[in-house]
Amino acid sequence: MQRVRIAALAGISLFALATSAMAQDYKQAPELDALVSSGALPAVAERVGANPRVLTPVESVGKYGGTFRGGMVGGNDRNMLFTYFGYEGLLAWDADWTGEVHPNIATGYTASADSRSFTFTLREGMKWSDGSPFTADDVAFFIEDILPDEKLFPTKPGWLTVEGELPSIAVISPTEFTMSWSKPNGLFILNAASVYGVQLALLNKAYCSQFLPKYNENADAEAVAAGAAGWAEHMVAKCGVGIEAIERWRNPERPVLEAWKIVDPYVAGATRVTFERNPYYWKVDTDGNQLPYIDDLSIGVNAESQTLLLSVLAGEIDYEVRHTTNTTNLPVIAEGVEQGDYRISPRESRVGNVMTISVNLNSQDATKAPIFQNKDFRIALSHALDRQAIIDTIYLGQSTPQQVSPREGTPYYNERLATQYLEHDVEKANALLDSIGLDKRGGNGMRLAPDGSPLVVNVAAVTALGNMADAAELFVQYWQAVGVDARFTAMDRTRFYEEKTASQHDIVVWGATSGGIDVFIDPRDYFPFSTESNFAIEWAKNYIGDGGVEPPDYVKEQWALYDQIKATSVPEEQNELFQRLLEITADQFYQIGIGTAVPLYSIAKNNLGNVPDGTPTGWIHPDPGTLNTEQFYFK
Amino acid sequence: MLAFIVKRVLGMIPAMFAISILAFTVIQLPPGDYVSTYAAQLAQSGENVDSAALNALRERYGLGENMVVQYTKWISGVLRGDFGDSFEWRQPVTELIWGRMGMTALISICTLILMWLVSLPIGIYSAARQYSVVDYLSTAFAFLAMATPNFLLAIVLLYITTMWFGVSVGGLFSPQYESAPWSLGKLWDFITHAWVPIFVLGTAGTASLIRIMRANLLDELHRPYVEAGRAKGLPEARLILSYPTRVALNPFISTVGWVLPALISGELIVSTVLNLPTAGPLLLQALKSQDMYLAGAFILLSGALVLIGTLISDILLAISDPRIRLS
Repeated sequence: MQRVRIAALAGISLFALATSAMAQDYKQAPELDALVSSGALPAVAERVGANPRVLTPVESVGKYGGTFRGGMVGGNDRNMLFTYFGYEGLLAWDADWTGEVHPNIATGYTASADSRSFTFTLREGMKWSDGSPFTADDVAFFIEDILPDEKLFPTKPGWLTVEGELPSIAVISPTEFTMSWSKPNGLFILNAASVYGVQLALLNKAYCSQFLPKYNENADAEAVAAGAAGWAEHMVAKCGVGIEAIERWRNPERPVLEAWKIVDPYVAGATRVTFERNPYYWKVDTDGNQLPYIDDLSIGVNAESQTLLLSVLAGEIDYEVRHTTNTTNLPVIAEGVEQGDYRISPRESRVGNVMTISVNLNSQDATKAPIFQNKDFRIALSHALDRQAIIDTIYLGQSTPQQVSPREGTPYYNERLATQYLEHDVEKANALLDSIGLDKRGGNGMRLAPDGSPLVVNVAAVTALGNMADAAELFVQYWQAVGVDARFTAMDRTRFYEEKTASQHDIVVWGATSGGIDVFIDPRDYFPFSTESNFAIEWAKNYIGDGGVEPPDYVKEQWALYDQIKATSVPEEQNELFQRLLEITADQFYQIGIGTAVPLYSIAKNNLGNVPDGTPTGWIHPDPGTLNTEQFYFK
Repeated sequence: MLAFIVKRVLGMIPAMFAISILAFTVIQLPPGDYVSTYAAQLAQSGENVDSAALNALRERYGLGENMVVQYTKWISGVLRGDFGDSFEWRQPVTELIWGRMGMTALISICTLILMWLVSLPIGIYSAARQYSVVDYLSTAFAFLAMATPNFLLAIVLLYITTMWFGVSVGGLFSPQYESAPWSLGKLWDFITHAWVPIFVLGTAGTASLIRIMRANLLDELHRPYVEAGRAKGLPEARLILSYPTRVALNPFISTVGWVLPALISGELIVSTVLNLPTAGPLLLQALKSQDMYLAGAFILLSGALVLIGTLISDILLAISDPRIRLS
């Protein structure tokens, strides 16, 4: 924490130097010149404020102009807009996701030693897209008026609560405020820089308060007149209070802090969503050019990802990472490089494994439960797999055998967890299975449960996620080879979710998640943390206070360690605690993994500049938002 | 005639009720609900799913309640003209449906007119000149066109237009005209794009109408009344067009009834493949995400249109063919 704070403070002094040198020479997009000379817009120096964020370009200072063409797929693809153009938090990650937290909307922060209160400094003279000033009051509006409201925010975001307690806020000056809790919230800064942090600076008080009865006694009547059921619904429709709300992309009148503001909204039936430049955007490049470089955004809404793929091949998409850039499409995309005039850039997936194989420790089946809970059973299943063969078949060799673990090269890597039980060893697997009472075989040569009944293990994977179902079919063969009567079931995702949420599954195959800095924020693969912890959903339910089953002591110990991680904000201490937590994960061997994450790629038109190569991706670290899309430009 | 219409309309009421129950049941058949689909989608893209948030959604939409309650809630809204809100889009269903219906109607009507314009003369000609070169050619075309799945044709055409002619992919307009008001430029843009879906949607229908027309007319051509007309020296063209053709038109009139529901659900896959801003892709997406009220509204509407279309067909047939008895 100390380190980050110094970086942030150093940032402030750098900004001060840079701005004093440049205050006179800010430049703007040519399309704004006429508006400024006619007096419709203030001068650029006034718009960017006294202390804009200075972005160092990836390749070079860009030039203004052009329309960015992108594509969305299906209904409710609002997070495409969010991850591409809506990642503006108080703090930000860098494109390389080294773990450093950078100033963004805030120029810096200080944390109290006990991690209970955090004081942020904002930029002098920073403005919303309608020209109104952005101040600490806007943040306070969210914390005090929106967040506690049951109608607007029925479920409170976990990262903003500590044991259910909401934060309180003290506004010190227009550019300074303090958020605090009565207990430590050691993960707050990590979350504030991640995708969730956008929440704190999403709502413009001047505009959004008109929909609240507290500020406008006619709010309810006006809402009904506008066709809404009540003020709360009207407020959500106009301001979209959550970061993932589809309404965020609906109302062109709502002031924003993002580089572009919406023109043609994302409503049902829309075939194209368009944006225009925010003339009050508060970032400049090193030459003092106000960002963004690109004038407009034009995002087509596709019914199906194949149409988008065809647009990519035809060279009609300037940048794409979300829908078409999977391994299956790679051959056709590589073939179209020349005709489409685009390049393929590597991206690094930071997930902890290509997939997780979760044996259900909370099985509802009385015969299977004790077998599944036996660690030797899971170890036997792991040894039965020929990982290299699976990787060669499914991932064209682009992965290295590994268990589900934080990635090598990150401070969170745990070697024992990553490398145990990896060898393909049929003899060992057979011996282990024999040793745990599965030594009797039925007429078909398959093992019988200790009570003499046939032991059939269902392995479920979702067909829509192609690779996983293909892999699962291979697993089944390897397990049958050691006498475990595994059967593959292809499932539709909805049914898959129904079954696993009710813990009716035997074994499920799903994607792994956090393997880097996000391990603290979403540790679902390392202990029963959320209902996405497929190996023990009932224990996880108990953790999140949603019923479930009380777990054994080692799980409770992990919960306690995680609580301690949240209670400190010193990275070294957090990691030390996390390593202790991972030792328990390694002891228990909750999930079986196959190999390290497969490299991903993005597609960018050859004339699109300032697109860095080889950047990591994730939901917590949302690319391309973290690449600073506002500094993309057309050469 | 009036009594006939009134009787038919009254008969439609229980049919409509049955359709509404059926539609609702079909939507509810797959396991899970919108919220589980939503959770699965989020989780797949690596986004976090908060089970408390999901439960709040379920409660808000009344998804946990039993089927009868949900059905009553839904149908009583429909009777008041309120189709409920789309879960996925968080917008009233009525806003969504009518927005897309205009474009759907435009495309369907263009297709229908083209189908008739092409198939009638060819059908008549190949019946009148049976086993001629044109007849063989049209037969070959008809078999080929009927055997080719429309969506496959759509994919091939899409590929060819994009990769060879550089026309922008799918849709009905170029990006610059999409949200522009109607103008001559936009009309021309529409025409350059619309021929693809009209061609794709029209081929199989045209082919089958050619065959139907040909077969019906062949049945009529050798009837005594035709021979009598010919014997009296009527010019051949006038003879065929005035008498047997009118009789052979019956199947065309009775297909009017099928055209109306096709406005909504017909050619759903083709519109999805071609990325058309019509009702089809919206219905497909609603079914995939179990967006109950949206899907329900589409299914209910297409049910209603089948009934209305059949009624119209019956009335037209009754008018055009004096042999039909009304009682």
